[in-house]
Amino acid sequence: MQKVIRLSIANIRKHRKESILLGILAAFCGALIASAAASIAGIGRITPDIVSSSECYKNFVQINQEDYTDKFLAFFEENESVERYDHVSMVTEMLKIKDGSDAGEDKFYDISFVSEGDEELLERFDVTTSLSEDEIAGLPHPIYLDKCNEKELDVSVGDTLTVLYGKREFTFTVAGFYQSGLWTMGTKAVISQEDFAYMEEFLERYEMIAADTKEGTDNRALLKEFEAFAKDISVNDISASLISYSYEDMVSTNNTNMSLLSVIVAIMAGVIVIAVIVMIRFRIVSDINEQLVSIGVLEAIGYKSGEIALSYIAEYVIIALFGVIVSIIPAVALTGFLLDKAASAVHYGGEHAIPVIPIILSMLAILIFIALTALTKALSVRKYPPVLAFRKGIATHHFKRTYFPLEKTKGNIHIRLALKGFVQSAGQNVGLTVCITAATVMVLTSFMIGSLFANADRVLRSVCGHELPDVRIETVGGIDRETFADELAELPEVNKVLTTTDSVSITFPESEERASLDVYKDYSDTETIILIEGRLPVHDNELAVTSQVKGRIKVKTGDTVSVEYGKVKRDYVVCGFVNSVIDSNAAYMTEDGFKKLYPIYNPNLFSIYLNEGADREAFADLLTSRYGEKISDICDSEVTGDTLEERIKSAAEIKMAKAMVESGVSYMEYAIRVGDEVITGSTGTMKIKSMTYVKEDYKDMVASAAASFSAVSVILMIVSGVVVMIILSILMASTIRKQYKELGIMKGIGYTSKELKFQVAARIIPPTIIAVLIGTILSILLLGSLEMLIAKITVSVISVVVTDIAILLFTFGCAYKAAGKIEKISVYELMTE
Amino acid sequence: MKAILRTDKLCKTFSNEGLQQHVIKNLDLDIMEGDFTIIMGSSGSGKSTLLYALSGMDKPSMGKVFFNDEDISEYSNDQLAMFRRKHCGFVFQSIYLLENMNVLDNILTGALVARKNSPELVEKVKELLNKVGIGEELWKKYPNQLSGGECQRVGIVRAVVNDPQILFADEPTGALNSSSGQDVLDVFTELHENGQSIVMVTHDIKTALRGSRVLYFKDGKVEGEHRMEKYGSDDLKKRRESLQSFLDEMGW
Repeated sequence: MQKVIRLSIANIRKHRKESILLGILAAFCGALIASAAASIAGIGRITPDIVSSSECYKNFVQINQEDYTDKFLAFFEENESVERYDHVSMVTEMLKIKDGSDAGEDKFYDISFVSEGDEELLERFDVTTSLSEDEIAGLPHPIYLDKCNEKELDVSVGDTLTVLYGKREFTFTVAGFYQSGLWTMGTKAVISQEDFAYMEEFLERYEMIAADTKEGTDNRALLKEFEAFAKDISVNDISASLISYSYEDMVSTNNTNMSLLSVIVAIMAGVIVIAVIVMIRFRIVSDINEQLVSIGVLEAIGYKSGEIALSYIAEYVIIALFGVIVSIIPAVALTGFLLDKAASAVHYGGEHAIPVIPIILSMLAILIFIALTALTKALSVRKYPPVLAFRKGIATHHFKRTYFPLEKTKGNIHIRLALKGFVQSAGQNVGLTVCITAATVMVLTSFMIGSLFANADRVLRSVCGHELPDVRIETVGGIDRETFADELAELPEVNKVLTTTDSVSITFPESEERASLDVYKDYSDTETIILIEGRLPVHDNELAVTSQVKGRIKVKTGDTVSVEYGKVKRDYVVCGFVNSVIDSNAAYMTEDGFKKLYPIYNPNLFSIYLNEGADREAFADLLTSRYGEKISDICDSEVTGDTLEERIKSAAEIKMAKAMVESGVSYMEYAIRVGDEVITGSTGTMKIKSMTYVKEDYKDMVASAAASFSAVSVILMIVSGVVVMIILSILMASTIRKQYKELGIMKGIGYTSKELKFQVAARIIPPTIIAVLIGTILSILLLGSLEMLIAKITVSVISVVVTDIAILLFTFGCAYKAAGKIEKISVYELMTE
Repeated sequence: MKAILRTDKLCKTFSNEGLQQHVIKNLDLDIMEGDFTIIMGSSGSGKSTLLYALSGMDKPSMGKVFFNDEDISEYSNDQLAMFRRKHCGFVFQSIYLLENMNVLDNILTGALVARKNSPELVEKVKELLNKVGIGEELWKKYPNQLSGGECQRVGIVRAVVNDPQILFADEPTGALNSSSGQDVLDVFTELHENGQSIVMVTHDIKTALRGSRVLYFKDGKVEGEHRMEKYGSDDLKKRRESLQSFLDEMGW
């Protein structure tokens, strides 16, 4: 065995540079495969780890406070499969976190608040970092944030955190961070009972029932049973306000949300492994061919062919071992990065151990795979007895047909000679085509994903599944919506106005699934509801759903599906499927379609799309000056005015606003006599109930995910580029070594090094063109298959062509550079050999 | 006759692990146009080194090489390649045909690097092949299907197809049997008769007899020179005796 290893090491030393390059390829394989496997395994552990570390409840029911009754608790009390349950309250709304710096922008953040007492019911409330008890006691408004917020909001203990709701600001001091358990929406902050009581005056309050069940319980079925029970005992229709989350659903949703990046890395790792294996195979074959004489000599002096074959296997195992050892640190780092990104996708800020076993297994798999590849090729040594090996087999004898005869040369001789070289290296071409195809798939797919995610606006337009108006206003009741929409549309800044409603919760009774419904009058006016298949609803009996809902309710276009809203049930024809990642649980109907379920439907939201270049803030000010401030802001404001009349008008407006918000009053007028003067007013100018910047809010939501995708895409593109460079470097070194004599002769008869470098590099152009074409087709198919996972990625023909040309030029450039060794061929040395 | 090649204090030194070997020492030499110059000398005397320095295959360590009064010693590698392409032809001892190309392609590889393809060029190649005795039946054959003599004749056609101003040959018959060697030498003789300038390195008297000028190279210098009439215009026996006598004088 010692002499076998000695032979292997001698061979490695002889081809030191190529061995190192092969080792680097193996390291790339190791790092990508191990990190993909380890992160996918690790992701599967994150949600259970959240539960076990926080000891939180696993199943939740959420309902608006006004629809809640303590009678609901009886269901959990009496159900035998329920082990424990609790009832807590939370407040939440569309909130923004104020940016501490002057330059930064306030950030939309999905956060809800519970009181400290309720938090202790929900989970262990394990505060990991905090101020001292004395310091906390001195804080007027302490807040405990989920650990993930430390990074996501860039805050530390002792910092102030200002939450914005309309014009109202709630300022807290961060008292500590705790490891939050499962939560149904965004992140959860824990505040004092007093602050909770204060906030619930302004924000929407929800009641939550959390429950744990005995092992083996079908939580999904249990919660459906509860929903039926709750509906039965409720006077109002609670369909829209009741949402339940089973543990199984949360694990599945979390895993899907978390594993996107890892799946992409896994796919790309698979692609690169194909390229590397082909290259290793090619390298072994070339090595054996190049060393046939040495093999003959070794056999002649008594080495068995088995020992020689074993030395080749050992050589590649040593190289692969070097590669996988080198790859351990990158694999661990990449796994950590992927797990961090995955955890942040579900707002998990706790520690996550890096799974070691998948990394070790991946490394072993690479070693075994390379050893087997080497074995299958190295055994060919047995075909060469010493004499045949001395004569270099039969490979150097040419009896083949002459392709591209030079007497028929019409143009450039160098291109002709390159073509001759191309047809004479069939084996190499197949290997190269596979490698470049793999690299093209990686580059093109990464480029398409990266360019989509490089721009949060583009991501939104592709994957949002909802409309993204610049400004959306909710109006108070009692206004003529048609006239108001027309009035808004006539403003010079406005491009168009669409009317819609808050998402409405509908049920598919056959599958017992639920979706939130978007309603538009005419979908041809919508912009960012992107179809994957079929078309958007046109008629009142048509319904479109997201691809995720499609999977859950198991329908295809043309199917009829029952939809229930309240107590009304109607049949609709499924007309199309929409791409939606942000809120994947969506369905779409026309206004007429929804009126079949809810005949008194009247849209209360106005989606305003501004013209290119229009200033959104200035436009919001214009709306305020015309239609009054947002009613919520008026409610929160103080009585102001320099004169008595101004102060009376201000006080009257606040009272009217409160009546509209709290009691649902749609119109009011007042007349107050002060001495001889009568002060009058009405809610006529108070049309805006709330105003949101939908596009900006969504942008904040996707920015972090977009940055992660973009970063991974860039990493994968760089890896592809490096792999291509390494592959071509190995290929060229082998070609030049094999054709050392021919190249020397050609130099001798007057070919310059540049011309020869061009010829050698140009040989790879035909297989590269074929590879780029195949790779492009495969990339488009791959992007299509990722459609369900990530988003419908619109493939721009120009981008594809430009990328393909860039790949071609890059490949040729690398080959030309790698062929630089031709310059070192000394004609004199060759001739005097 | 004017000098087609001229050296001025040409030196070639090889270094290996600190040891220096001066193979050519301050050599001043003229190679005349139309001459069939033979370079002889004992093994290791530096004759092949001189041939490659003269032909631009290798760069001198010091001194200059002039081709038609143009200094080529400072040329870059690519300029030297262009020089060889335009002005030189080479015939090697090891023949060095391109194994993966047939006879026609081997010759056209040399031809098409210097000029564009044309029916006249292909005709010329075929004519030259016929002239050296390589019939049409061999044109599509690969080198491994030809005899050594046939290969070397193909090599000569490749060397002369571009009408080089000077043809270099390094032991062109060294790897051939006697009969094949004579056939190859006949080709050289015919080329010389047609005015081709030739510089050939050999250690074979039979080969040297074909030349018009014999230079004896020893210790990096030209030790002596022997002029002869054109081959075939004098008595072969006398020619041989006179050359032998010159070589004996040189200590060969």
